[in-house]
Amino acid sequence: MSALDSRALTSLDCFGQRFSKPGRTRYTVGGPLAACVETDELPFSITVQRPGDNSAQRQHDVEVRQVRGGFTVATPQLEIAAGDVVIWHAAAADTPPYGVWGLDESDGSFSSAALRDAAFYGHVFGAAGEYAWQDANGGTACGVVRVCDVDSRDRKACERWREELKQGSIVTVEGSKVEPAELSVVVGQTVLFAVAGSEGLAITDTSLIRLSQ
Amino acid sequence: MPDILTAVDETAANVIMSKEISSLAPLAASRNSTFGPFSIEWELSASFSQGTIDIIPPPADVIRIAGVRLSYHAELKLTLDLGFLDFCLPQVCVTLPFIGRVCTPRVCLSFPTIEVPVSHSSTVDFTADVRPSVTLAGDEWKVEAVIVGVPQLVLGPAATALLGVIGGAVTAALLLVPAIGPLLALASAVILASLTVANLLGVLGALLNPLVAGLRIPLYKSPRLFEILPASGQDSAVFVRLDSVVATLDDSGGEDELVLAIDISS
Repeated sequence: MSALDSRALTSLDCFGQRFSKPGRTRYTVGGPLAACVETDELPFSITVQRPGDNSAQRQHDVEVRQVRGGFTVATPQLEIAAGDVVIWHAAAADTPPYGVWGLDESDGSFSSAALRDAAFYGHVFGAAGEYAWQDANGGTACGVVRVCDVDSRDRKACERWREELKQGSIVTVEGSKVEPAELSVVVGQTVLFAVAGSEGLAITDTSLIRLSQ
Repeated sequence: MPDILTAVDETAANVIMSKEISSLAPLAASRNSTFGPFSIEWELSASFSQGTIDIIPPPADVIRIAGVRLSYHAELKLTLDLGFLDFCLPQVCVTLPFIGRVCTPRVCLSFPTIEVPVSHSSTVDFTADVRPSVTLAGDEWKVEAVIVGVPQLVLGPAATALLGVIGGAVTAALLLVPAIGPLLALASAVILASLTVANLLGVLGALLNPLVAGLRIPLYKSPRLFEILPASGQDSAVFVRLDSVVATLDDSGGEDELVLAIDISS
Protein backbone atom coordinates (compact mmCIF):
# COMPACT_ATOMS: atom_id res chain seq x y z
CA MET A 1 0.00 0.00 0.00
CA SER A 2 1.36 3.44 -0.90
CA ALA A 3 1.71 5.59 2.20
CA LEU A 4 1.28 9.32 2.46
CA ASP A 5 4.95 10.18 2.80
CA SER A 6 6.83 12.65 0.63
CA ARG A 7 10.08 11.06 1.82
CA ALA A 8 9.22 7.75 0.15
CA LEU A 9 7.60 8.33 -3.24
CA THR A 10 5.86 5.50 -5.09
CA SER A 11 3.98 5.13 -8.36
CA LEU A 12 0.98 6.80 -6.71
CA ASP A 13 3.03 9.89 -5.87
CA CYS A 14 4.71 12.68 -7.72
CA PHE A 15 7.05 15.42 -6.66
CA GLY A 16 7.31 18.74 -8.46
CA GLN A 17 9.71 21.64 -8.20
CA ARG A 18 9.59 25.00 -9.94
CA PHE A 19 13.03 26.30 -10.90
CA SER A 20 13.09 30.10 -10.97
CA LYS A 21 16.78 30.96 -11.26
CA PRO A 22 19.01 30.20 -14.22
CA GLY A 23 21.89 27.87 -13.43
CA ARG A 24 22.74 24.22 -13.11
CA THR A 25 21.26 21.92 -10.54
CA ARG A 26 22.55 18.40 -9.91
CA TYR A 27 20.46 15.83 -8.22
CA THR A 28 20.02 12.18 -7.37
CA VAL A 29 17.15 9.79 -6.99
CA GLY A 30 17.48 7.22 -4.25
CA GLY A 31 16.30 5.75 -1.03
CA PRO A 32 15.87 7.53 2.30
CA LEU A 33 19.57 8.43 2.41
CA ALA A 34 19.55 10.23 -0.93
CA ALA A 35 20.32 13.52 0.80
CA CYS A 36 23.42 12.02 2.41
CA VAL A 37 25.31 11.17 -0.77
CA GLU A 38 28.51 12.99 -1.69
CA THR A 39 28.06 16.02 -3.91
CA ASP A 40 30.05 14.39 -6.69
CA GLU A 41 27.60 11.49 -6.65
CA LEU A 42 24.76 13.54 -8.05
CA PRO A 43 24.45 11.92 -11.46
CA PHE A 44 21.57 13.85 -12.98
CA SER A 45 21.33 17.50 -13.88
CA ILE A 46 18.89 20.21 -14.75
CA THR A 47 20.19 23.20 -16.64
CA VAL A 48 17.95 26.20 -16.19
CA GLN A 49 18.20 28.77 -19.01
CA ARG A 50 16.97 32.31 -18.99
CA PRO A 51 13.43 32.31 -20.31
CA GLY A 52 12.63 33.79 -23.68
CA ASP A 53 10.66 37.01 -23.82
CA ASN A 54 7.34 35.39 -24.63
CA SER A 55 7.92 31.92 -23.29
CA ALA A 56 5.19 30.42 -21.15
CA GLN A 57 5.86 28.19 -18.18
CA ARG A 58 6.35 24.59 -19.20
CA GLN A 59 6.13 21.31 -17.39
CA HIS A 60 8.79 18.60 -17.71
CA ASP A 61 7.91 15.10 -16.56
CA VAL A 62 10.85 12.95 -15.48
CA GLU A 63 10.15 9.28 -15.13
CA VAL A 64 11.99 7.47 -12.35
CA ARG A 65 12.92 3.85 -12.98
CA GLN A 66 14.46 1.21 -10.84
CA VAL A 67 17.69 -0.28 -12.14
CA ARG A 68 20.03 -2.80 -10.58
CA GLY A 69 21.39 -1.25 -7.43
CA GLY A 70 19.36 1.90 -7.52
CA PHE A 71 17.35 4.26 -9.65
CA THR A 72 17.72 6.14 -12.88
CA VAL A 73 15.66 8.74 -14.68
CA ALA A 74 14.43 8.83 -18.26
CA THR A 75 16.06 12.23 -18.86
CA PRO A 76 19.37 12.36 -16.96
CA GLN A 77 20.29 15.77 -18.36
CA LEU A 78 17.38 18.11 -18.66
CA GLU A 79 17.33 21.63 -20.06
CA ILE A 80 14.52 23.89 -19.02
CA ALA A 81 13.72 27.58 -18.86
CA ALA A 82 13.56 29.53 -15.63
CA GLY A 83 10.03 29.30 -14.26
CA ASP A 84 9.44 25.81 -15.61
CA VAL A 85 8.26 22.98 -13.41
CA VAL A 86 9.89 19.54 -13.26
CA ILE A 87 7.77 16.64 -12.03
CA TRP A 88 9.30 13.33 -10.97
CA HIS A 89 7.15 10.23 -11.02
CA ALA A 90 7.47 6.45 -11.30
CA ALA A 91 5.28 4.71 -13.86
CA ALA A 92 5.95 1.15 -12.73
CA ALA A 93 3.83 0.04 -9.80
CA ASP A 94 6.68 -2.08 -8.42
CA THR A 95 9.12 0.81 -8.18
CA PRO A 96 10.50 0.83 -4.63
CA PRO A 97 10.00 3.97 -2.56
CA TYR A 98 12.41 6.71 -3.60
CA GLY A 99 13.28 10.30 -2.88
CA VAL A 100 14.68 13.15 -4.97
CA TRP A 101 17.43 15.39 -3.65
CA GLY A 102 19.39 18.06 -5.47
CA LEU A 103 21.81 20.95 -5.06
CA ASP A 104 22.23 24.03 -7.20
CA GLU A 105 25.34 26.12 -7.85
CA SER A 106 24.63 28.50 -4.99
CA ASP A 107 24.25 25.63 -2.50
CA GLY A 108 20.48 25.89 -2.52
CA SER A 109 18.90 22.47 -2.26
CA PHE A 110 15.59 20.94 -3.15
CA SER A 111 14.20 17.65 -1.95
CA SER A 112 11.03 15.61 -1.85
CA ALA A 113 11.90 14.86 1.77
CA ALA A 114 12.23 18.55 2.64
CA LEU A 115 9.83 20.65 0.56
CA ARG A 116 10.81 24.33 0.71
CA ASP A 117 9.78 26.81 -1.95
CA ALA A 118 7.66 26.36 -5.05
CA ALA A 119 7.53 22.64 -4.54
CA PHE A 120 4.63 20.24 -4.47
CA TYR A 121 3.92 16.69 -3.48
CA GLY A 122 1.05 14.82 -5.13
CA HIS A 123 -0.44 11.68 -3.65
CA VAL A 124 -3.21 9.39 -4.90
CA PHE A 125 -5.16 8.15 -1.90
CA GLY A 126 -5.56 4.47 -2.62
CA ALA A 127 -7.72 3.40 0.29
CA ALA A 128 -10.59 4.85 2.23
CA GLY A 129 -9.93 6.19 5.70
CA GLU A 130 -8.82 9.21 7.66
CA TYR A 131 -5.25 10.27 7.13
CA ALA A 132 -3.76 12.67 9.63
CA TRP A 133 -0.49 14.10 8.40
CA GLN A 134 2.25 16.23 9.88
CA ASP A 135 5.76 17.39 9.17
CA ALA A 136 8.15 14.49 9.78
CA ASN A 137 10.98 17.06 9.96
CA GLY A 138 9.59 18.62 13.12
CA GLY A 139 7.63 21.56 11.72
CA THR A 140 4.19 22.43 13.01
CA ALA A 141 2.29 22.12 9.72
CA CYS A 142 -0.33 19.39 9.89
CA GLY A 143 -3.72 18.41 8.52
CA VAL A 144 -6.24 15.68 7.87
CA VAL A 145 -7.46 14.08 4.64
CA ARG A 146 -10.63 12.03 4.77
CA VAL A 147 -10.96 9.52 1.95
CA CYS A 148 -14.42 8.16 1.16
CA ASP A 149 -15.00 4.80 -0.48
CA VAL A 150 -16.96 4.23 -3.68
CA ASP A 151 -19.73 1.68 -4.09
CA SER A 152 -18.48 -0.20 -7.17
CA ARG A 153 -21.90 -1.94 -7.55
CA ASP A 154 -23.71 1.36 -8.13
CA ARG A 155 -23.22 2.56 -11.70
CA LYS A 156 -24.23 6.15 -10.95
CA ALA A 157 -21.90 6.24 -7.96
CA CYS A 158 -19.13 4.95 -10.19
CA GLU A 159 -19.81 7.63 -12.80
CA ARG A 160 -19.68 10.32 -10.11
CA TRP A 161 -16.48 8.77 -8.81
CA ARG A 162 -14.81 8.84 -12.23
CA GLU A 163 -15.68 12.53 -12.58
CA GLU A 164 -14.35 13.28 -9.12
CA LEU A 165 -11.08 11.56 -9.97
CA LYS A 166 -10.45 14.26 -12.58
CA GLN A 167 -10.67 16.93 -9.93
CA GLY A 168 -7.46 17.35 -7.98
CA SER A 169 -7.65 18.72 -4.48
CA ILE A 170 -5.10 21.29 -3.38
CA VAL A 171 -3.65 21.87 0.05
CA THR A 172 -1.50 24.96 0.39
CA VAL A 173 1.26 24.99 2.98
CA GLU A 174 2.90 28.36 3.50
CA GLY A 175 5.30 28.21 6.39
CA SER A 176 3.25 26.54 9.12
CA LYS A 177 -0.08 27.72 7.72
CA VAL A 178 -2.12 24.96 6.07
CA GLU A 179 -5.16 25.69 3.92
CA PRO A 180 -7.42 23.78 4.11
CA ALA A 181 -6.28 21.91 7.20
CA GLU A 182 -8.98 19.30 6.61
CA LEU A 183 -10.49 18.07 3.38
CA SER A 184 -12.47 15.15 2.01
CA VAL A 185 -11.74 13.28 -1.21
CA VAL A 186 -12.84 10.03 -2.82
CA VAL A 187 -10.69 6.94 -2.99
CA GLY A 188 -8.28 7.16 -5.92
CA GLN A 189 -8.33 10.95 -5.93
CA THR A 190 -5.14 13.00 -6.09
CA VAL A 191 -4.28 15.59 -3.45
CA LEU A 192 -1.54 18.07 -4.30
CA PHE A 193 0.29 19.76 -1.44
CA ALA A 194 1.79 23.04 -2.70
CA VAL A 195 4.55 24.35 -0.45
CA ALA A 196 6.25 27.72 -0.04
CA GLY A 197 8.20 29.44 2.72
CA SER A 198 8.97 26.23 4.53
CA GLU A 199 12.23 25.25 6.18
CA GLY A 200 11.92 21.76 4.79
CA LEU A 201 8.58 20.02 5.07
CA ALA A 202 8.11 16.24 4.85
CA ILE A 203 4.41 15.54 4.45
CA THR A 204 3.99 12.28 6.28
CA ASP A 205 1.19 10.14 7.62
CA THR A 206 1.20 10.69 11.38
CA SER A 207 1.00 6.95 12.04
CA LEU A 208 4.34 6.48 10.24
CA ILE A 209 5.97 9.11 12.43
CA ARG A 210 4.64 7.40 15.55
CA LEU A 211 6.00 4.10 14.30
CA SER A 212 9.48 5.51 13.89
CA GLN A 213 9.53 7.03 17.38
CA MET B 1 -16.36 -78.92 4.70
CA PRO B 2 -13.19 -76.80 4.61
CA ASP B 3 -10.04 -77.96 6.29
CA ILE B 4 -9.75 -74.85 8.44
CA LEU B 5 -12.61 -72.67 9.55
CA THR B 6 -11.86 -69.50 11.44
CA ALA B 7 -14.35 -66.84 12.48
CA VAL B 8 -14.19 -63.31 13.81
CA ASP B 9 -17.18 -61.89 15.64
CA GLU B 10 -18.15 -58.23 15.70
CA THR B 11 -16.29 -57.51 18.93
CA ALA B 12 -13.04 -58.87 17.54
CA ALA B 13 -13.72 -57.30 14.15
CA ASN B 14 -14.05 -53.90 15.81
CA VAL B 15 -10.64 -54.32 17.43
CA ILE B 16 -8.96 -55.61 14.28
CA MET B 17 -10.51 -53.21 11.79
CA SER B 18 -10.13 -50.07 13.92
CA LYS B 19 -6.46 -50.88 14.29
CA GLU B 20 -6.08 -51.60 10.59
CA ILE B 21 -7.95 -48.44 9.56
CA SER B 22 -5.69 -46.30 11.75
CA SER B 23 -2.60 -48.06 10.39
CA LEU B 24 -3.39 -47.33 6.77
CA ALA B 25 -0.67 -45.31 5.11
CA PRO B 26 -1.70 -41.70 4.41
CA LEU B 27 -3.14 -41.25 0.94
CA ALA B 28 -2.31 -38.37 -1.36
CA ALA B 29 -4.08 -36.64 -4.22
CA SER B 30 -3.44 -33.56 -6.30
CA ARG B 31 -5.42 -31.55 -8.78
CA ASN B 32 -5.43 -28.23 -10.61
CA SER B 33 -8.60 -26.21 -10.89
CA THR B 34 -9.48 -22.82 -12.33
CA PHE B 35 -12.12 -20.42 -11.10
CA GLY B 36 -12.48 -17.07 -12.87
CA PRO B 37 -9.28 -15.07 -12.56
CA PHE B 38 -7.37 -17.61 -10.56
CA SER B 39 -6.20 -21.16 -10.57
CA ILE B 40 -5.55 -23.43 -7.64
CA GLU B 41 -3.01 -26.22 -7.27
CA TRP B 42 -4.19 -28.67 -4.67
CA GLU B 43 -1.93 -31.10 -2.78
CA LEU B 44 -3.93 -33.17 -0.36
CA SER B 45 -3.01 -35.91 2.10
CA ALA B 46 -5.56 -37.94 4.01
CA SER B 47 -5.72 -40.59 6.70
CA PHE B 48 -8.52 -42.59 8.28
CA SER B 49 -9.38 -43.49 11.86
CA GLN B 50 -12.15 -44.78 14.13
CA GLY B 51 -15.24 -46.55 12.84
CA THR B 52 -17.68 -49.00 14.42
CA ILE B 53 -18.16 -52.37 12.75
CA ASP B 54 -21.49 -54.01 12.09
CA ILE B 55 -21.31 -57.35 10.28
CA ILE B 56 -24.46 -57.80 8.20
CA PRO B 57 -24.73 -61.28 6.65
CA PRO B 58 -26.65 -62.00 3.41
CA PRO B 59 -28.79 -60.83 1.83
CA ALA B 60 -27.14 -57.42 2.57
CA ASP B 61 -23.79 -59.20 2.84
CA VAL B 62 -21.71 -56.20 3.91
CA ILE B 63 -19.62 -55.01 6.80
CA ARG B 64 -20.92 -51.57 7.71
CA ILE B 65 -18.31 -49.24 9.22
CA ALA B 66 -20.02 -46.27 10.82
CA GLY B 67 -18.22 -43.10 11.89
CA VAL B 68 -15.04 -43.50 9.90
CA ARG B 69 -13.09 -40.31 10.33
CA LEU B 70 -11.29 -38.99 7.28
CA SER B 71 -8.68 -36.43 8.35
CA TYR B 72 -7.12 -34.45 5.55
CA HIS B 73 -4.64 -31.66 5.10
CA ALA B 74 -4.70 -29.57 1.95
CA GLU B 75 -1.89 -27.32 0.72
CA LEU B 76 -3.29 -24.94 -1.86
CA LYS B 77 -1.33 -22.61 -4.09
CA LEU B 78 -3.64 -19.97 -5.49
CA THR B 79 -2.36 -18.13 -8.53
CA LEU B 80 -4.35 -14.98 -8.95
CA ASP B 81 -4.03 -12.97 -12.17
CA LEU B 82 -5.06 -9.46 -11.24
CA GLY B 83 -4.75 -8.20 -14.83
CA PHE B 84 -8.50 -7.79 -14.98
CA LEU B 85 -8.11 -4.83 -12.63
CA ASP B 86 -5.74 -2.83 -14.86
CA PHE B 87 -6.92 0.74 -14.79
CA CYS B 88 -5.66 4.25 -15.58
CA LEU B 89 -6.47 7.15 -13.31
CA PRO B 90 -7.34 10.34 -15.21
CA GLN B 91 -4.73 13.09 -15.34
CA VAL B 92 -5.38 15.92 -12.95
CA CYS B 93 -4.63 19.47 -14.13
CA VAL B 94 -4.71 22.25 -11.56
CA THR B 95 -3.22 25.64 -10.95
CA LEU B 96 -1.09 25.49 -7.85
CA PRO B 97 -0.20 28.54 -5.80
CA PHE B 98 3.56 29.38 -5.90
CA ILE B 99 4.01 27.02 -8.84
CA GLY B 100 1.52 27.55 -11.64
CA ARG B 101 -0.41 25.23 -13.89
CA VAL B 102 0.57 21.57 -13.64
CA CYS B 103 -0.85 18.29 -14.81
CA THR B 104 -0.07 15.17 -12.85
CA PRO B 105 1.60 12.36 -14.78
CA ARG B 106 -0.75 9.68 -15.99
CA VAL B 107 -1.01 6.96 -13.37
CA CYS B 108 -1.84 3.56 -14.84
CA LEU B 109 -2.34 0.77 -12.42
CA SER B 110 -1.09 -2.50 -13.86
CA PHE B 111 -1.63 -5.41 -11.55
CA PRO B 112 0.58 -8.47 -11.24
CA THR B 113 -0.13 -12.15 -10.86
CA ILE B 114 0.18 -13.05 -7.22
CA GLU B 115 0.55 -16.40 -5.51
CA VAL B 116 -1.23 -17.08 -2.27
CA PRO B 117 -0.41 -20.21 -0.27
CA VAL B 118 -3.22 -21.59 1.85
CA SER B 119 -3.12 -24.49 4.31
CA HIS B 120 -6.29 -26.14 5.47
CA SER B 121 -6.96 -29.17 7.65
CA SER B 122 -10.30 -30.69 8.42
CA THR B 123 -12.11 -33.94 9.11
CA VAL B 124 -15.21 -35.54 7.67
CA ASP B 125 -17.04 -38.54 9.13
CA PHE B 126 -18.78 -41.06 6.92
CA THR B 127 -20.32 -44.51 6.91
CA ALA B 128 -19.02 -47.06 4.46
CA ASP B 129 -20.13 -50.52 3.44
CA VAL B 130 -17.27 -52.91 2.73
CA ARG B 131 -17.14 -56.48 1.58
CA PRO B 132 -14.33 -58.99 2.06
CA SER B 133 -12.23 -59.59 -1.00
CA VAL B 134 -9.75 -62.47 -1.25
CA THR B 135 -6.79 -62.34 -3.62
CA LEU B 136 -3.74 -64.47 -4.17
CA ALA B 137 -0.93 -62.14 -5.01
CA GLY B 138 2.20 -64.05 -5.83
CA ASP B 139 2.62 -66.46 -2.96
CA GLU B 140 0.50 -64.57 -0.50
CA TRP B 141 -3.18 -64.75 0.31
CA LYS B 142 -4.76 -61.43 1.17
CA VAL B 143 -8.16 -60.77 2.64
CA GLU B 144 -9.14 -57.10 2.46
CA ALA B 145 -12.30 -55.15 3.11
CA VAL B 146 -13.14 -53.27 -0.07
CA ILE B 147 -15.56 -50.36 -0.29
CA VAL B 148 -18.91 -51.16 -1.89
CA GLY B 149 -20.11 -48.07 -3.74
CA VAL B 150 -18.98 -44.54 -2.90
CA PRO B 151 -20.07 -43.30 0.50
CA GLN B 152 -21.68 -39.90 0.80
CA LEU B 153 -19.13 -37.40 2.12
CA VAL B 154 -20.73 -34.37 3.76
CA LEU B 155 -18.18 -31.74 2.76
CA GLY B 156 -20.35 -28.61 2.98
CA PRO B 157 -19.01 -27.40 6.34
CA ALA B 158 -15.43 -28.10 5.26
CA ALA B 159 -15.93 -26.22 1.98
CA THR B 160 -17.46 -23.26 3.83
CA ALA B 161 -14.53 -23.18 6.26
CA LEU B 162 -12.05 -23.45 3.39
CA LEU B 163 -13.74 -20.58 1.56
CA GLY B 164 -13.28 -18.46 4.70
CA VAL B 165 -9.60 -19.37 4.93
CA ILE B 166 -9.04 -18.61 1.24
CA GLY B 167 -10.98 -15.34 1.49
CA GLY B 168 -8.82 -14.21 4.42
CA ALA B 169 -5.57 -15.20 2.73
CA VAL B 170 -6.52 -13.53 -0.57
CA THR B 171 -7.58 -10.32 1.15
CA ALA B 172 -4.31 -10.21 3.10
CA ALA B 173 -2.37 -10.78 -0.12
CA LEU B 174 -4.33 -8.12 -2.00
CA LEU B 175 -3.52 -5.55 0.67
CA LEU B 176 0.16 -5.98 -0.19
CA VAL B 177 -0.36 -5.34 -3.92
CA PRO B 178 0.97 -1.88 -4.76
CA ALA B 179 -1.76 0.60 -5.69
CA ILE B 180 -4.60 -1.85 -5.22
CA GLY B 181 -6.38 0.52 -2.87
CA PRO B 182 -8.92 2.14 -5.21
CA LEU B 183 -9.86 -1.25 -6.58
CA LEU B 184 -9.60 -3.37 -3.47
CA ALA B 185 -13.34 -3.62 -2.95
CA LEU B 186 -13.92 -4.45 -6.62
CA ALA B 187 -11.13 -7.05 -6.64
CA SER B 188 -12.48 -8.75 -3.55
CA ALA B 189 -16.00 -8.77 -5.00
CA VAL B 190 -14.89 -10.35 -8.30
CA ILE B 191 -12.70 -12.93 -6.63
CA LEU B 192 -15.24 -13.97 -4.06
CA ALA B 193 -17.90 -14.18 -6.77
CA SER B 194 -15.64 -16.55 -8.72
CA LEU B 195 -15.03 -18.77 -5.76
CA THR B 196 -18.11 -20.31 -4.19
CA VAL B 197 -18.79 -23.04 -1.70
CA ALA B 198 -20.17 -25.08 -4.61
CA ASN B 199 -16.87 -24.72 -6.52
CA LEU B 200 -14.82 -25.83 -3.55
CA LEU B 201 -17.26 -28.58 -2.75
CA GLY B 202 -16.79 -29.93 -6.26
CA VAL B 203 -13.01 -29.98 -6.00
CA LEU B 204 -12.92 -31.39 -2.47
CA GLY B 205 -15.32 -34.11 -3.54
CA ALA B 206 -13.28 -34.88 -6.64
CA LEU B 207 -10.15 -35.20 -4.49
CA LEU B 208 -11.54 -37.08 -1.53
CA ASN B 209 -14.12 -39.38 -3.12
CA PRO B 210 -11.56 -41.43 -5.08
CA LEU B 211 -9.46 -41.84 -1.92
CA VAL B 212 -12.46 -43.23 -0.08
CA ALA B 213 -13.72 -45.25 -3.03
CA GLY B 214 -10.35 -46.93 -3.40
CA LEU B 215 -10.01 -47.72 0.29
CA ARG B 216 -8.81 -51.27 1.03
CA ILE B 217 -8.55 -52.35 4.65
CA PRO B 218 -6.25 -55.35 5.22
CA LEU B 219 -7.95 -58.04 7.32
CA TYR B 220 -5.73 -61.08 6.94
CA LYS B 221 -2.71 -62.18 5.02
CA SER B 222 -0.78 -65.39 4.95
CA PRO B 223 1.91 -66.96 2.79
CA ARG B 224 0.56 -69.65 0.53
CA LEU B 225 3.03 -72.10 2.09
CA PHE B 226 2.08 -71.92 5.73
CA GLU B 227 4.48 -73.13 8.40
CA ILE B 228 2.85 -75.20 11.14
CA LEU B 229 4.96 -75.44 14.25
CA PRO B 230 4.87 -78.60 16.34
CA ALA B 231 3.13 -78.65 19.70
CA SER B 232 6.26 -80.18 21.29
CA GLY B 233 9.93 -80.01 20.45
CA GLN B 234 10.12 -83.63 19.30
CA ASP B 235 8.43 -83.03 15.95
CA SER B 236 9.74 -80.79 13.21
CA ALA B 237 7.78 -77.96 11.61
CA VAL B 238 5.86 -78.78 8.47
CA PHE B 239 4.60 -76.60 5.64
CA VAL B 240 1.07 -76.85 4.33
CA ARG B 241 -0.17 -75.26 1.19
CA LEU B 242 -3.22 -73.00 1.43
CA ASP B 243 -5.10 -74.02 -1.71
CA SER B 244 -8.08 -71.76 -1.28
CA VAL B 245 -9.28 -69.05 1.05
CA VAL B 246 -12.92 -68.00 1.07
CA ALA B 247 -14.25 -65.11 3.18
CA THR B 248 -17.95 -64.89 3.95
CA LEU B 249 -20.26 -63.15 6.37
CA ASP B 250 -22.29 -65.60 8.34
CA ASP B 251 -24.81 -65.73 11.16
CA SER B 252 -25.55 -69.45 11.19
CA GLY B 253 -23.83 -69.81 14.56
CA GLY B 254 -26.22 -67.35 16.13
CA GLU B 255 -23.76 -64.48 15.90
CA ASP B 256 -22.74 -62.24 13.03
CA GLU B 257 -19.26 -63.27 12.02
CA LEU B 258 -16.62 -62.87 9.37
CA VAL B 259 -15.68 -66.42 8.45
CA LEU B 260 -12.57 -67.62 6.63
CA ALA B 261 -12.78 -71.09 5.11
CA ILE B 262 -9.38 -72.46 4.10
CA ASP B 263 -8.52 -75.67 2.23
CA ILE B 264 -5.02 -77.00 2.60
CA SER B 265 -2.82 -79.70 1.13
CA SER B 266 0.60 -80.93 2.19
